Amino acid sequence: MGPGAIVIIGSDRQPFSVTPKKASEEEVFFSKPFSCVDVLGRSMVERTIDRLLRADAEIVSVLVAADIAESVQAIAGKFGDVRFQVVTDFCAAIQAKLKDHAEAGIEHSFVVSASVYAETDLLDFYYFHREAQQVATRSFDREGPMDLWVVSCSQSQDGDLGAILNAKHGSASAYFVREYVIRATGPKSLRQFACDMFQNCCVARPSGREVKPGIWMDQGAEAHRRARVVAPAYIGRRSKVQQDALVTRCSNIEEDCCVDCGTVIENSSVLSDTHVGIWLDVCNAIAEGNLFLSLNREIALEISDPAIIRVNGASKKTKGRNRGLIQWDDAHASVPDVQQVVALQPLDSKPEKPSAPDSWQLGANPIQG
Amino acid sequence: MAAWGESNSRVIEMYTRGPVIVMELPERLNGAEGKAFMRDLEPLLEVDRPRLVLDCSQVQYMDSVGIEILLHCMDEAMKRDGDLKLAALSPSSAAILELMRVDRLFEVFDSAEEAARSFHAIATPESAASMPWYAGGYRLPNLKSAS
Repeated sequence: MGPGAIVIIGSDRQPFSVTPKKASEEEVFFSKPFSCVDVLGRSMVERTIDRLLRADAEIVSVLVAADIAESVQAIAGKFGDVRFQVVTDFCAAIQAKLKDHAEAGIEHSFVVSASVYAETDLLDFYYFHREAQQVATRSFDREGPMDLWVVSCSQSQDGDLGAILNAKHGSASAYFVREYVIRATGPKSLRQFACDMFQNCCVARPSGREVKPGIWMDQGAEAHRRARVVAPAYIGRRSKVQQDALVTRCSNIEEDCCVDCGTVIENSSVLSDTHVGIWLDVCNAIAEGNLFLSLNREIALEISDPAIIRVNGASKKTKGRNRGLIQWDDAHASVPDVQQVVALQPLDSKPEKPSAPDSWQLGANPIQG
Repeated sequence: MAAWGESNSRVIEMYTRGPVIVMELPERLNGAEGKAFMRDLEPLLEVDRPRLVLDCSQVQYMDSVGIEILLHCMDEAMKRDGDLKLAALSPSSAAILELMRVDRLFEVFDSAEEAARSFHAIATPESAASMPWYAGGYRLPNLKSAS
């Protein structure tokens, strides 16, 4: 029988990791954990689950931290055969899952944190563990140990699982990963992952269709004929790039976004459901809803002016609720505010203005390769 | 250093260093505070060749009205052959100016002192190399040493 797999999705506030993290890595930026944020059409956790399924994993179980369960629902809907379970105590839940796997006749299971994306040969890792004849085999790369193990299901029931997984390097043989690895530790890692995919540093590819060399457009993506999309770039599902806008230098516009007239998106990521207003310069930054992260200056701004950046369309209310913000007051609509993220501002509930859907011509788009 | 204006129980500190006027922006640069600030600033913009430095070190909050005020001040100063420079911008203010493409319109300095000094630097006599060829101080470059 083949291996089993357990994927753990911890929140950014309380990530699942046996490796100590720096304080800066525990800051919360987005409405969902970094591993669940779409990068070029798919999140890291989706890509990890895909890899496990391709490695012939018999059972793939996903354990999700209770506080982020809502944001993982969309991912759960994409995988019919994968079991998602909301948990509060990861170690106990992993141990219970390993027990289930053992009872189902599975000898060894992968245990992987969603915050690590590794393009290692999983079957090679599996056979390495079997030959090592130990309870758990941890993987590591040039940067150190990773939260990716192969664990013997039946033997792991005997001891403390936390201690088994955190066994020091040297006390047991570890598996060295030479292939591409990225850890979702912060907003910069999302940009890094996008750039790596564009530059073919990893096997993962953008979703959608490569309409011109280096330009990827997903289903329903539209670019105005007067917009410029310069390779490498990605336009996600149902996203729109309005006239005179420029998307360039490894920028990715994720699904259901709108880049309004004349705006420049350079070396930046516009995450799902974001409307970027007119004549802006988004450079080396990440925008999500009304949150703007400048990677140059390493600051996060919550922008309550819906004319600058805002949550796009239908998901507007949901996103506001996720962040615990109150509704935008119409009386303030003409007084846009910009404030540091520490002091959350009232969010918009104004009905969205339709954004110039006049002359979309995907076929005649002067995209520059 | 002399206290210059007072409005809405808020004191704007202002001090002059030669012909350069350094003015501290209020903590919140929005519609209401901005109007009061403009009332204090307008007389200074009406002089010939106004040289202004806006010290942004206290700014905690800025909205698009605040940005409009900065642009208006710049415009007025330029009209009278003067200039306006910004000093001590916080990273968040700088990021928002950058996002809205306004950063390139202003000269920004780390401190008000530095910004004020930059005005004096312009006032110094021009060096011979930057003078036109017909000016008295113009000399042909030493071709031997240049090669």
